[in-house]
Amino acid sequence: MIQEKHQFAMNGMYPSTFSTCSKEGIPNTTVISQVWYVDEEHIALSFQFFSKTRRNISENPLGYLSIINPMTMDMYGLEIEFVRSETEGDLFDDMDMKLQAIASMSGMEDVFELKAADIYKVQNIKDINL
Amino acid sequence: MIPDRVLEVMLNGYGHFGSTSNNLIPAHIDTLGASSNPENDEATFFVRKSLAEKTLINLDSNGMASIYLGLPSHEAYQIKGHFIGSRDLTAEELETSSKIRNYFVDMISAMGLPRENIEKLYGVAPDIGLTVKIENIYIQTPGPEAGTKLEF
Repeated sequence: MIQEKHQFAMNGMYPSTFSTCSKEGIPNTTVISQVWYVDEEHIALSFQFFSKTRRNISENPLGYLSIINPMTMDMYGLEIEFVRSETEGDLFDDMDMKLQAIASMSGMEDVFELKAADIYKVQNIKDINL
Repeated sequence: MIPDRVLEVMLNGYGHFGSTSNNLIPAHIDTLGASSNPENDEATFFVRKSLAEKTLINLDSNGMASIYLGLPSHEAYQIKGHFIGSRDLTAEELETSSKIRNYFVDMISAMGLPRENIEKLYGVAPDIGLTVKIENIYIQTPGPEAGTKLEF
């Protein structure tokens, strides 16, 4: 499912966009700094804040993510479904380290804090023909 | 009235227009500029019709919209509202979009990314406006105020 070309769009150089919706169908769209490749069927997103996104995912596990390869600007749309949260382990530690680096570069060390690595199963990926 | 600060970000920043299907599958597309009528709390977001098929189906089905508005400084707002309709863009709106898109092409290419590729996203003019009646606005700038509802 997830190919090498998609992984180039998960390197954190270009922000990704993530949409969720509540059980009443009210959408919410936000920007995230990085998407992590877990395996060919799963990605991880950082859970940093008790946000509307997190509340929506607890009500409705379906989300839509768009990612961009920063060098080619090729864009991909992923339909994803929340699976579980991890609060320890190699993935969590890797995400925490990279998040702190991103926070440091953007002067937001006191704001960014990784609470969990949220694992999503990728249901579908489509090329977005710009 | 839409707060001045939100208008500033709406008219000069980047955006993502979110919608959802009746079976609760969300979607979004990039916006390429906006215009507003602050007095009746309506705003029109410029998009490319060729990328908006799913969004238009969702909006026609249930009319619920969310728009993320942001600046490179991380200042951001989330607008919630109801879709009113779609329309062609005016010459003035196309000019507004052109200025914003040129700004983003210059800014991103200055980071060392290939200009001709950035123009795939920002070099193409929008050809449809999605008008929304704004009902709620939330601060989305990362930090302690994120999620705070703005009264207007």
